[in-house]
Amino acid sequence: MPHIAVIVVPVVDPLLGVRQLAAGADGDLDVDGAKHVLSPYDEAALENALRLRDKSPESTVTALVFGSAVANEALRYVMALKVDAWRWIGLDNAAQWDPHAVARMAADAVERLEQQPSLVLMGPEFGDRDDGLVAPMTARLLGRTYFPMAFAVGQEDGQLVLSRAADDYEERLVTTDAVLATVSTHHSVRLRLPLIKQIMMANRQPVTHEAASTETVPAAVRLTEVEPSNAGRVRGASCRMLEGSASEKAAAFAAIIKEKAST
Amino acid sequence: MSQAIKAVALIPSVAATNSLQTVRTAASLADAAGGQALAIVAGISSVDGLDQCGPSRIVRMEGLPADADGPVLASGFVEALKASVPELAGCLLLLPYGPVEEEIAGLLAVELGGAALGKCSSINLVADGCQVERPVYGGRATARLHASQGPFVCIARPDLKPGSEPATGSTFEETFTVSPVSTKSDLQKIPFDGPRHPPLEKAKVVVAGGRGMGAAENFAQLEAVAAAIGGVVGCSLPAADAGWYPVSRQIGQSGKFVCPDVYVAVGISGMSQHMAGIAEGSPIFAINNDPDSSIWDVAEIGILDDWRNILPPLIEALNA
Repeated sequence: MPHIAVIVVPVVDPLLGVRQLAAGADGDLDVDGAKHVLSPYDEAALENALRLRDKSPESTVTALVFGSAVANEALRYVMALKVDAWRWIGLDNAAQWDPHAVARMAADAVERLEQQPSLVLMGPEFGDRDDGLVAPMTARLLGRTYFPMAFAVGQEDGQLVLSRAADDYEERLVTTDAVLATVSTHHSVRLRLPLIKQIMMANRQPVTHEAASTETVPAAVRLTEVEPSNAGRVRGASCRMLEGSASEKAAAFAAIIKEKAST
Repeated sequence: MSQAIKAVALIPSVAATNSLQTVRTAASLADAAGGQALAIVAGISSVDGLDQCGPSRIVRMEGLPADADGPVLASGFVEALKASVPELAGCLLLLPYGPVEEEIAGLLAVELGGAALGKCSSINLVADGCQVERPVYGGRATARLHASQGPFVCIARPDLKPGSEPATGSTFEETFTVSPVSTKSDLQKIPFDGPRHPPLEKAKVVVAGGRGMGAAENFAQLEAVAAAIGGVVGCSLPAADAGWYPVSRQIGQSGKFVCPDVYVAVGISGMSQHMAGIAEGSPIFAINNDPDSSIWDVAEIGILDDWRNILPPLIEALNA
């Protein structure tokens, strides 16, 4: 038990403002030169997989790292974590606007593994251009049980045990079915640090891209343009700062939010 | 001759916050496209006011188990759609915002070979297909997307730009019984021992804490603020990640979406990934001790100070 595949898609460094990025081809931003990092969700997926392997040494972890050259650094980091196997799968930026096309690529990458994993883990979003549809679509294409936002992934009596949090209760899935789960972050799950020696070895190892998929299907969704946003808000809009002592500021703040809440 | 169905609102449950908005939007878009809107509602749902939202037909799906999960509901919707709408290619399928709805949207797009357009902040049916806008790059940018071949599967964000008010007339209601389905589920529900939290999604006042709160026990002060003003407490990803507040209370790109009348942000930096979970119309009131924080770019009212100095007198003032 279990063979685990982890889908990893590096994202543009969250600390980088997209206004710093130039316009790129086909209406997209030019992110190819931007620093890319592992998302906290992909980190949690990797750590959950590695912990499962720690507990059952016969199991294996295969990382499926998607992305163009920007994924190289993240790939080396994943390799240094001593995953059992890895694949670097090239991903065309323009194709990523169609979640169905991306899901087909992801499902194809899983299906091409020699040993089919009993568990596929990934973040809730497939990189920067997805907003949560790729994971359930990939699960459907693979015929797997879908379990979103697991905060814990374990194993009991040969069965997978996955937990997620709702407002007042925990939902737990105990199953022997093949599963694709997305993970949420959790304070008890921190991605381990690789040894310096492993990083150096990973950096020296030759790596090559694989093609994303042998199947060519035209994308059903195409990008018109991308423009920086501030969730609809105007950056630099005047924020009225309250002045005075702490008590005066608190009293003024209380009056304002009471009034807003009552209207 | 009756007009073609141009938009279908799919309502899986009463849990979503914006079911009525979804039906109204579907009706408005269908009106604009010269067609009709249909609402398909899972039989267990009892959503009042659907007939006032402009659909020409409401189809209630019966035969589903009360605790039907995403795949079962998706199968039911596929059956009902195929029986109710003769031509889906140019049709918009619109779902409310929520985790089950997200799963159903993905499943429908696969099952029907549709164009999956995501959680949209703007939707337009145009002569050559469907145009939408949705946040990308962790909420840092907005993408305008186009699909020419439907069905177009979209999720309505609660801050979806409203269209024109749909025409309301007589609404024909019917029932559709779905085929018997296997309801085997290995899912267990285990109640939490801790305090119960009211839902964030429908809250009119949200008090949220971030990395600046420093420790789990400090959230008690946010709960006191919320209690004083009838609000509920949420948190940012770093606070949930640190274990200071439950993951289920996280607001942001991968967490809950809120649209309150008042959003109090305490010790929150205002990164776009967090802002992506707050409706653009919700006013933000911030307390933060960092003069360079991005939160000042989006807040209406601010206090530049340590929350430790402000929250005790704030709680006192709110309770006075």
